[in-house]
Amino acid sequence: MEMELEEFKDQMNREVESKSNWAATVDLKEMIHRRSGSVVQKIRRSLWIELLILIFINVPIAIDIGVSYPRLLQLNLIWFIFLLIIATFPVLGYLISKTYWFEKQSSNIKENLSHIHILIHRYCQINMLLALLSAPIGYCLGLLLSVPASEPLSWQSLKNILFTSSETENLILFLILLGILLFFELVIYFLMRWYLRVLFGKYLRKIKQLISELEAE
Amino acid sequence: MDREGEFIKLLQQHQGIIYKVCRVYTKQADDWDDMYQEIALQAWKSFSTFRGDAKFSTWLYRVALNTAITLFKRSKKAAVLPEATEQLTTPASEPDPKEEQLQAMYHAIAELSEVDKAIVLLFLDDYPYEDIGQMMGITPNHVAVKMSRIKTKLQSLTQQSLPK
Repeated sequence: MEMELEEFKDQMNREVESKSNWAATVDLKEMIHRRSGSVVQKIRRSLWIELLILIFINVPIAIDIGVSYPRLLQLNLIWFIFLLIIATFPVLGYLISKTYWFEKQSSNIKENLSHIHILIHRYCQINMLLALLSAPIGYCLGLLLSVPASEPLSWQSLKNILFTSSETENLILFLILLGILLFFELVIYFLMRWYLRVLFGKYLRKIKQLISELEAE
Repeated sequence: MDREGEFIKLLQQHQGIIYKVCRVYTKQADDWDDMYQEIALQAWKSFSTFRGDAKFSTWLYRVALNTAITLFKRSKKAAVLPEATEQLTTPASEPDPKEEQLQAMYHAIAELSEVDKAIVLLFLDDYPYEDIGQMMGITPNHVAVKMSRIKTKLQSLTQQSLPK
């Protein structure tokens, strides 16, 4: 086998020599300014899109709800949503900065694989969390907006409107409302899990397998 | 010379490394181009970390292997072989046993895992086990063990693919 590998090495080197100018200087110059297709770049692009959506879509929507339904401000709900949106900025910002940091590294292969694994894992966790948080917020907003304008807006009003019958019926209604919320959460959870698996599942498995291959003595 | 010019010059001189990595890690013409470009791009992006304390070739190998191993591939159906592969895989009118053996070796290496391919490439470029270990993030002993297993695997794979 040693001999065969030596012969192979010579052959390969001869081939490389004959192709030493495979890419011309001009091609190389062009290459280094093209768009990258690396997973880190993809994650960064996606994170920037999420951040921009949060700023340019969610914030105006939150403001619009506050203006159109000033009654919601009585519950400080708009502020709460607003704070929640703002709270995600540093998290997304942290991950974006990580992608820039990561690109500047020239760590060894095992470390590099671990970094990529952690980055994708965190990205998936954050996306799952954001998706799961959006369901109860939307659900509560929807319920609160069903309180007629003539009524003062409070959780008590909502309770008074929804639960007017006997205790057993109230309990059933409460359980139904809770069931709907849980159903939404479950649907979102499984949809997100499926989506993230389609996006990164195979890739993550491959990375994990390579790490364990490097760890196994 | 500006930083970009310096980088292009170095890359031009060491293109063989990118060529070898692409040769071992790709099977399709489209993949070849994508990988070559991605390696050049990643090398440029992390060029600021190259301080000259290590050889440029070692540094480039590290970047190229990291890029090749972690490339996020889209599934493509086209199965066009790159020009270079064609040149080597097209059988001559009269089969040359040596050529067949080399082809068998290329096919055998293609069957190895991404990690093993990296180790073989570095081994073929005469890197000592210590350097290979540093690049891979494992101990030199581990490299030696892996290399011995790889050789056995290559032996059995080449024997399988050679005509009896």
